[in-house]
Amino acid sequence: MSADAPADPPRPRVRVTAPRHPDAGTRPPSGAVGGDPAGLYVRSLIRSQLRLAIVCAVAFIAVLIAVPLTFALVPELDAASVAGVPVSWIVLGAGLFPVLIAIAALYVRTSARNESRYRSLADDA
Amino acid sequence: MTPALGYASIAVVTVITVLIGFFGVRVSRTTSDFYVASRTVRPWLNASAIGGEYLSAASVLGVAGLILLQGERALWFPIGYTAGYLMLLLFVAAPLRRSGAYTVPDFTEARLESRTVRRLTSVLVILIGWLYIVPQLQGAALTVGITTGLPRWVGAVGVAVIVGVVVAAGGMRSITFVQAFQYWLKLTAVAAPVVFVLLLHPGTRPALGEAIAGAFPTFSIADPDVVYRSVSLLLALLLGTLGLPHVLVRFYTNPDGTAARRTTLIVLCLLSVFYLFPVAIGMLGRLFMPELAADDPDALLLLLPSAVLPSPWAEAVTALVIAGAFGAFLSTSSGLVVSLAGVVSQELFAGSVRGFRIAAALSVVVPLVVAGLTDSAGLAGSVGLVFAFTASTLCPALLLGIWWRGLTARGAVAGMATGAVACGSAILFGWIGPDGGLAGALIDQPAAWTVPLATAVMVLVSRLDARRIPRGTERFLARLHVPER
Repeated sequence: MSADAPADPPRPRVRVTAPRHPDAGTRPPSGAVGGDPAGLYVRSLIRSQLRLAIVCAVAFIAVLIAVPLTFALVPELDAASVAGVPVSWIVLGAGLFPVLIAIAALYVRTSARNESRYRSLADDA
Repeated sequence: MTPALGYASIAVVTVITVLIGFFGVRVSRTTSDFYVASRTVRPWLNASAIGGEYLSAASVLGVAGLILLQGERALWFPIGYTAGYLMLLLFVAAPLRRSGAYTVPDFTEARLESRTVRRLTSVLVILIGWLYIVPQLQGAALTVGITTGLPRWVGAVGVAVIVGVVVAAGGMRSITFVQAFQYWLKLTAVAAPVVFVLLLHPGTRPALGEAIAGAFPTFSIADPDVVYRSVSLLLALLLGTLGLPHVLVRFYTNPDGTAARRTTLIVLCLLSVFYLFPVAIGMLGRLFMPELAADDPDALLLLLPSAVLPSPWAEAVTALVIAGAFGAFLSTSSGLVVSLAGVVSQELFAGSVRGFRIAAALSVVVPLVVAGLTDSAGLAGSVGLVFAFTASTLCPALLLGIWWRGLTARGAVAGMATGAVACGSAILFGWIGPDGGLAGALIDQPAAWTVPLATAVMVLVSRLDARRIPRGTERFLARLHVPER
């Protein structure tokens, strides 16, 4: 490849101008990462872990908000009871814990997958 | 209640705690062993220990009492206390373990490369620890007073002395085993009354629903005061857990980041199982002892077995309950004292083992004085305020430190100071005189405005100070998030 380059001068000129334009808006102009694939992989790992954490947190908070809203909007459900215990007590006193554990388990698996993807990228580089 | 039963249970749980504490001494040899058990504790043991450390007087006595008092509204407490660990898992567990720091001040100093940040964090950790130990000692005073008839201060002094001695003698290694044992003891103590009452009174369940429906008729969401208080409380509990020093110090004992996550997941399961029972006890209290709500709701767990169960069972379950409650004060206080002593000794005594011992003694004396001067006003509520304070100070610093490149030392200091002043003054005003209406709600449950305020100040000052972003930020963040081999 390096033998081809000096033999064909116009091509490098095209390749230098091409990447500058589409990247201008998306990549921060910091020099810290420039030309350093390891730093790039780390940044993308951090971004994907943060995104995952926020999605999980928002999912749980949505469930938290939905529960009292449902009971307020459907009074019959609030008045109902199962085996003598009101439904709202069962949901708040016990029902939210499995949801919590499910979200946590999902996070543990997915975050580990993000890390193994990072590992294979970093090992290839 | 017969005093002999109280004496016997307290003596037994104390002896077992001290024995495990001293048995563990043999394993701790180096200074590193002494501080964080050399980071070789397995997830199950570590998770039990975190559970044992975390389930304080507020969870064992306070939650049942609050449910007796407030009904459904109080169900947010167990949910929030547990869900705090979800937030911890999502945002803090693995990165904090990978940071390789021993204590929270170690972390902030390494991240922000500033001694000032370290000093402020240390002061906050010590304040939070003291604030958190106070209700434990008050719970001990209550328990000893009710079960033995001795003056209440005996309980507080007793717990303070036992904890001081055990921590100073054994350090963290033995504490890990003590805490793991305490979780299972506490679970048995809250489960036994529920199981025995339901077995020996088959007619309980249908009557239970009527008693609850009669006391707390509807699920109120239309009242803005209730909504604000619930949201603010939940915010405090969800985020406060992230910054609790005695919880965070446990994460350094995991072998690596992946183990830290697995440990947190197990903790979530352990807490979920535990909190089913205080809720059930609160409901049983509504049925069998509704008059206690006006009197001393925190004593519900201690009094319920002897009030409801027939003779041989009543004594056996009561003894177990007393042991579990006393275990709660011992384990949470000792966990707090370990983390406080770690911070104090590193600040003042250069981290020597002898310094750790002196610091352990210092860490129990101050809360003891405060507990003697103030009166307990609802254990779950006062612990909730400590969560609000932590959520407004250490939590934003940790979250932004782990996830945001732009954080600077000045930003962290400004944000933590703002949060501490705002939330601290709300807590002080609450002590002086609780007020009704909007102002009362803002002061009683400050987290909903102090947490965003502290975070906003932290971000804003960091932005203005962007030239002083620590030079090692990129490398440090990589270390937090890149998996170990």
